Amino acid sequence: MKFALLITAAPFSQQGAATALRFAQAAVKAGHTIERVFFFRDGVHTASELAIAPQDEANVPVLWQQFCREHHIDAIACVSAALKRGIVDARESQRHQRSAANLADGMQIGGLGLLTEAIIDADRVVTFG
Amino acid sequence: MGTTRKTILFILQRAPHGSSAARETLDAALAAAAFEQDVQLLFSGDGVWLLQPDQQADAIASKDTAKMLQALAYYDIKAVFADTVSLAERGLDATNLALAVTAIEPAAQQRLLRAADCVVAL
Repeated sequence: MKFALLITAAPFSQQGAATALRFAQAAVKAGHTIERVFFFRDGVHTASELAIAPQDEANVPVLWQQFCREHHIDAIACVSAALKRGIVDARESQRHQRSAANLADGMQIGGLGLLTEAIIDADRVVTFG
Repeated sequence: MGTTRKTILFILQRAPHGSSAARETLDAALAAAAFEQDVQLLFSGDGVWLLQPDQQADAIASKDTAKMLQALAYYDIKAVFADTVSLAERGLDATNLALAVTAIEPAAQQRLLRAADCVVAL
């Protein structure tokens, strides 16, 4: 089955982002496909490469980033949600005259049209808020 | 994706100004409509407060959701429903709302949920 995941949960304040990761790991292990992961609202913090977790706490952003790279999963952070929260890639950083970019390797910034596309292409869409 | 057209039901279940959930659900619905999907909206729970007329969002530097509701028609979103129970609980009159909606009972909402290809509720 082809899944698309919509993640609105903030990676450290809510359990949703970690639960979504475990769901994705289980789905891939069972032979399913994750078509796309779309991070929306506070979920976009998962796309930051600057998140640093204490040693006794899981670094959910880093785990998500590794998982997407390892399985070549299309991972998108909603552009309007991301920019508002200071999650920017090199292009947006330059465009808005900022001094740095922090989008993690393997993550992309894109519009809500990519969420629609994922809904169209997937057999199931699962939201984690 | 090509010509695939899905029925996507967006449930607006949060009040308009306490969080960005309702506004961002509308954003996602408008994007889906722009991609020529069959978009349906269901206002339920505190989400029916979006339908309260004459809101003055600028008083708290918030965005006017009424403007977004007006945009629905331009995106050809016509299947707009509201939960009769949620409206009644909050004293809202279905005939005097910021947007013309079809008020439906919980049983009809179940049919709507079952018939949709995808349900998005933030």
